[in-house]
Amino acid sequence: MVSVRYVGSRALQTVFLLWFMLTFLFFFFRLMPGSYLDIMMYRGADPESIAVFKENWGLNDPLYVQYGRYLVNFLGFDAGLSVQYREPVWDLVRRRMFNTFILVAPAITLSYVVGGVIGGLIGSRRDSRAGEHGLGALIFVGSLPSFFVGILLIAMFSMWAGLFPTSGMVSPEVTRTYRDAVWWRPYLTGDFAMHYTLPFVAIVFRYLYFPSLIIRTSFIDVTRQEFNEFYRVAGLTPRARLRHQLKHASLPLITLYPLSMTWALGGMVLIETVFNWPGIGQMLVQAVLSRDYPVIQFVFFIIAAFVILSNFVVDLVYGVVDPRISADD
Amino acid sequence: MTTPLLEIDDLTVTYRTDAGELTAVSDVSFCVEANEIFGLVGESGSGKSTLAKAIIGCLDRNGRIDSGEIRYCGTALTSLSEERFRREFRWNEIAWIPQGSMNSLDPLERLCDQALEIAQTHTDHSAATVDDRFRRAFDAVGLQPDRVTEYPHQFSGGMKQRAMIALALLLEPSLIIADEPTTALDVIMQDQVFRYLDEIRQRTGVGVLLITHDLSVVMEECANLAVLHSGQLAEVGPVTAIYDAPHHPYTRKLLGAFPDVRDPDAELEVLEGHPPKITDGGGYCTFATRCPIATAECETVAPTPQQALESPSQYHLTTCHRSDRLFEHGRSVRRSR
Repeated sequence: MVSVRYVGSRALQTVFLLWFMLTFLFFFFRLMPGSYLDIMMYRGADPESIAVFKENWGLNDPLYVQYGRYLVNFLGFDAGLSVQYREPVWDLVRRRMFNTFILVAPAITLSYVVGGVIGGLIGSRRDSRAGEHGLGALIFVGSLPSFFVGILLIAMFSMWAGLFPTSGMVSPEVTRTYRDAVWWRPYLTGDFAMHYTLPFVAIVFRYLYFPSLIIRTSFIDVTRQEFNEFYRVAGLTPRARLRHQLKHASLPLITLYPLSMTWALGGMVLIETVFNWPGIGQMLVQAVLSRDYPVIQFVFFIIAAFVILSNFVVDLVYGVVDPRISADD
Repeated sequence: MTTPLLEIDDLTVTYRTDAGELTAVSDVSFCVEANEIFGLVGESGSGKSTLAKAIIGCLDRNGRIDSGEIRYCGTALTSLSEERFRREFRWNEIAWIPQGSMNSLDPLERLCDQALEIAQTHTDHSAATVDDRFRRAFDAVGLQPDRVTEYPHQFSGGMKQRAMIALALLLEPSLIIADEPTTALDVIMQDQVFRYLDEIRQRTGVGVLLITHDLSVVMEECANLAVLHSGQLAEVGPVTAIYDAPHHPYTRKLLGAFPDVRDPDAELEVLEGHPPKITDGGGYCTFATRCPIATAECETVAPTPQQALESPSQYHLTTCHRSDRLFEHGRSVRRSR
C-alpha cells in the first residue's frame, strides 16, 4: 500500500520545498521596494546612524553572504532579531502564535465537525424544503464579513446581555495576580475562558459554511455512486449505509482541513482586531507596515512549512484511507 | 404441485414523475423455479430493472408497487415489513448481480471486509467462517482465493464482475437476480461468467433470474423466458417453444432481427419507433403503435395472457389479441425459409 519508496520520495520533496521556501522568502523580501532603512530615513534618521545600522546588521555584505548567514543561523534555530523591537524573533512571536493557535485551531476543528454534520444533513435532504433552506442559510452565513459577525456578537452578548467581556484575552487583574507564576498560568483561569468564548464562537459560526458546503456537495456525489444500491440490496442497515457514505464524503476534508488550519498559524487579522486578541495576525500586519523582515519571513516560513508538512502527512493518510491513491504512484 | 421459488402475480409498478404517474410494469405474472435460469428480455426502458428492484424491495423513492404480489417460496414479499425483508431476505435469500457490477463494489473497502459486513448483517457466522466461505466462493468463480484481501480497483472489469458473483454466492441464496450481468464484458468473458453461473446452478440448485436485452444470451442459457414490452408481458414460456413458434408480434420481430449466416443478404426485421411510456394507466396493448397487425381492439383493450395455440408446451402464454392469426402467419413464414 504505502511503500517505503513512496514515503521516501515524498519526504525528499518535502525537504526540498522547505529549503526552497526559506530561500524564496529571503530573496523575495529583499527584492521588494522599501525596507526598514527607508522607514528610518522617513522618520528623520541621519546618514551616520543609518551607516552604523547597516554596519551592525551586516547589510553591507553581499546578499549571498547575508543569505548564507541566515541559513546557518536558521538551522541553529536562530531566526534573527526583529528590527523594530531588537528582540529575537522567536521570543517575540512565540506567545503571539500560541495565543492565536489555542483560539483558532480548536475553533476551526469544531467548525469542521459541526459543518460536517450539517453538510451531511442538508446533503441527505437535498430534495426537501429543509435541505434548500439549510443551503440558503449556509450561504448567508458564509457571506457575512467576519468582523461583522464579531461586532454583532459583542453587541449582543457583551454590550446588551453583559455576559462576556468585550475584548482582550485576560483582564489586567489576572495578569497582575499571576505576574510571578509560570507563563501559562493565566490561561487556566475562568477569566480567560470568558474572554475566549466570543471570538471562538465567532470563528466557528463564520467558518462553518466552508466544510458544510464541501461535505454537502461531496455527499450528494457519493449518494449517486453505484455502491449505494449494492449496499441497499445487500440488506445493510440504513445506519451502516450512512456510515459508508460519510466515509466517502469526508475524503475531501482530509485535504482541506490542514489548509484551513493555516489560519491557526497565520492568524485571523479581522477577528483578532475586533476582539483585541493578542495574536500573531495583528503582529504580522504591524511587521509588514514597519518592514520588519525577520519577523515576516519567519512567520511566513512557519505557515508555508505547515502547509508543506501537512500536505506530506495528508498524502500518507490519504493512501491509507483511500486505497486507490497510492496504488497509482 | 410444489410452490415455485419466485412467483410474480399481476404486478403493477408505477413511478411518480413530473410528467405524472408512469406505469413501468403493468400486470406482469411469471414464475421462476429453483435450479433454472429464467430469462427476462426487453428493450431498455421496458421495465426489466424496475421489476428486479421491485422483487428485492429496493425501488427508487418515487416508485411503488400499485397492485399484485411477489411471492418467494410462498411468502408474500410485498406484505413484509421493511425491516424483516431487509434482514432475512435481501442477499440472504435473494442475491443480486447488479447492472454494471464493476462499479458497484465499494472502492474504499477490501472485498473481504465487504463480504464480512454483509454476512454479519444477516447471520451470526464468525469472521473465520465468512472468510473461509468467501475464499471458496472466489475459487468457484475462478479467482485466486488469496485475492479476497484486495481492493476492487486492483481487479480487472471481468474479475470485479466475478467477485460480485462470489459475493452473491456468499450466503448461499436460493435466488440470484442477474441484471445485465455481462453487458460490459467481451464475448469470452461473457461466456465465462455464464459458465460459472451455470456450474453454480447445477451444484447448488439456485434459481437465476437473468435480465438482459440480448435475446441470443437467453436462447443459449435459459430454459424459460419472458419477453417484456413497455411494462407489459408479451410472451412467456419455454425457450424452445417460443423460438419455434413465437406467438406475439414483438417476439417474432425480435427473433427476425437475427442475421442468418446462410443468407446474409436476407432482410432483417426492423422495429420502428420506441416503446411508449405509459402515463395514463394503460388499458391498451403497448405494442399496438408498433405492431403490423394491430386492430382497433388493440388500442382500446389491454390483452390478457392466454395459452398459446398449438404450442408444444403447456406453459406458453401470449398476451396478444391476434396471436391466433399471427401464429398461422408466422408458421408459414418459417416454412418458406
